[in-house]
Amino acid sequence: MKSVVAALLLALALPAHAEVPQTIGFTARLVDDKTGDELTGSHQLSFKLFAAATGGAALWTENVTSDVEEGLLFVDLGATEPLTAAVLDGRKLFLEVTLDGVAMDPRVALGSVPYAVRATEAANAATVGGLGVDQLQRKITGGCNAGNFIIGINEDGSAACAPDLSGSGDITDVTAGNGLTGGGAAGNVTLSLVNCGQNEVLKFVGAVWTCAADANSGGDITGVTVGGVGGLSGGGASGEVQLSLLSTCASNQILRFNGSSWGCSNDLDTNSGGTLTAVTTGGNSGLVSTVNGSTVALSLLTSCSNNQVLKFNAGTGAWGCANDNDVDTNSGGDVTDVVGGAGLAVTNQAGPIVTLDIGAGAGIIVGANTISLDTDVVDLRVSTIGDPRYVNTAGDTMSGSLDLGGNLVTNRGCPSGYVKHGATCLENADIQLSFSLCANKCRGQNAHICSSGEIRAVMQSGITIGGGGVAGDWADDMDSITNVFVIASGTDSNSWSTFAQTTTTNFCRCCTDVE
Amino acid sequence: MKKSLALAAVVALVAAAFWLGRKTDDVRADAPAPAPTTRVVEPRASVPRLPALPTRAVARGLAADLVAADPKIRRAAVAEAADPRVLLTASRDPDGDVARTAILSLTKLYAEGQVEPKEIIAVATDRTIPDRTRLFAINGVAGVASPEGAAMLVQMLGGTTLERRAASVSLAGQDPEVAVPALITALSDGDEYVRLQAVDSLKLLSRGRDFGLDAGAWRAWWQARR
Repeated sequence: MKSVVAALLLALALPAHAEVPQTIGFTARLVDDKTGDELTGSHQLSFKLFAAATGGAALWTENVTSDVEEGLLFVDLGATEPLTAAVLDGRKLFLEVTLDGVAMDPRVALGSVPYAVRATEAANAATVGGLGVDQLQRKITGGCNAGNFIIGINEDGSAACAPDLSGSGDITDVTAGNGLTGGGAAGNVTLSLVNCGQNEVLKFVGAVWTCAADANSGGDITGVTVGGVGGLSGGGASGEVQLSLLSTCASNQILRFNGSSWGCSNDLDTNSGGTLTAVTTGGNSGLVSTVNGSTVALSLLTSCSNNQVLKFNAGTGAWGCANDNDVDTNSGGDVTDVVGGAGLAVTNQAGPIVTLDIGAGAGIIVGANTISLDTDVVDLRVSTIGDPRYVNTAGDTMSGSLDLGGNLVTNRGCPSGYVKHGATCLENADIQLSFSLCANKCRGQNAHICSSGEIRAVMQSGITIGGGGVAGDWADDMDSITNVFVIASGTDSNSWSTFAQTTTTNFCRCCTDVE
Repeated sequence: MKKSLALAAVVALVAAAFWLGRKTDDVRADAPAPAPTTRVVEPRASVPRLPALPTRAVARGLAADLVAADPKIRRAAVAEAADPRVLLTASRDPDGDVARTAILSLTKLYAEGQVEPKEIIAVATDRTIPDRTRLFAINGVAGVASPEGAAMLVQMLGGTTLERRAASVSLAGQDPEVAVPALITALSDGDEYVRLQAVDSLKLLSRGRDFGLDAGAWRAWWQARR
């Protein structure tokens, strides 16, 4: 194994153009340390970069076969294995060179030269002087053609051009005239209408524009046309329009409405504008007339005698004087006396207004619109209980016939809610109650719990009993011993009851006498 | 002789089932026909057990009359019947008069301890039986003081109007320890008659005290008494 003495030189191997180099020039002088002879010929070289002077894993490796002449070696590191920014990331690196399998010791520390490789990154710097891409303008290139002016710089640095719009003239001043406001002598100027009041408009009055109310506020006439019923002509949809009556009528014609439209028509009122020339009473009219100048007076016949009347004779068709045959023989007469009959009292008998009052008899009460019998009057002739509405037929006898006029003598029946069964009024419905409450309920209706006898009689009559029948109803035997029954059968009057306890409920049905 | 009696009983039960299949206007059309019971009746605990009575001999023709088409004949036959099983079946007769006659007989047997409480209570609580008939069974249960009857009446205070009105009166005949608290609750019933009858019952159970519809006063009296 030969010994090698290497004199190393690292340098940037710059390419022909001005781009940032991607390789590092490596130069060394190789001699045999034993003989001192310079090495020549082809040799196998291996270059490795490490993060430390000794040990560690290689960050980058490149194997090269290179010819050595007179001991000089020239290699571009990174020519076959690129030296990327990931390798040259700013750390201090150590280069290990292996010649024909013999690693040179120690590793060579690399300085700042290799980091010139990272100059490529500057080409894509995110900021320049702290300014971002969107804050920088590319170099301005080019210009504008004749007659055009730069009006802006495009993103790529080219000039944006536009022709001169100012023409040949020049406005030196803009002055607001009547009705306008604004203007100026330099820069952009603005003209606008003067401010008016709410809903006002600018009107040209005399020689100036001035704010004024909109007389046509709320609408406008857009057209004037003649209606379908005619009689008019003219109209229009713009400017001042006129309407006039038809001008197609002949002389002295008038406009007449025929029910659907107006049109020219002759004036049929031939008396129009005339004067009354005569008033004729006609024969047998019952009228006479007198003329005083232009005034005609009409009156009924004045040839009649006193108290005569005008009568029409249908036979002759004439009105004439005649005597009044319907002589009012009572004319001037009066009722001279009003005499009160039986039971009537007379007030102001001589008139002219006579009043008759009923009530002279005892036992009669006269109300505003009623006449009734006075029940306070005790008249034993008609009733022993003092009520004249009743006749005690048991104690009194009638000496004559009783005239009831058109009225009938009727049985007064049962209270409401009760049904008449013979001489008994039976409640038409029953309700489940205790015997005690049932008794109270019936007393409240001036009735009583139906007795066994009453119910038996009703059952035997065969009449249908309301409220579900009597089965389950309370019954009172009405004797001196308080036996309470409840009816078990609703149909068999011979087998219908049993004794019951008062501490139960059954159905309560009341009975009372026919009134 | 025993063979013919047994045969007659079987005929009666079969005939009773057929008889219940008929319908009158006194029963719901959908009322189920009850199955005849064959259980041995046990006396109620609250009623002294009576000596077992021999089964009464059924008179000739009675079985046929129990299923006669004429309800009057059936009712007369039921009135003669003393067998609780026959009466329990007849208590659901479609004819109200027949059913009520059977229930009245059952009530009598119940008071004598011949019918188990749950059997007559089953009739009293069977809402398929028309109210006007079922009320007889309710009153039959209520006529005897018993724990079962009291429990039934207390439960009825939460039942139909018929049941609540019956219970508000009939609890007066039951154990006050059960009846009084239930009746105090009934003072607030929605039915006026239930309330009034509850007051009457409480007056009876309190030996004449009258606190009206004042449930608080009744409750205070009851607690003080205890």
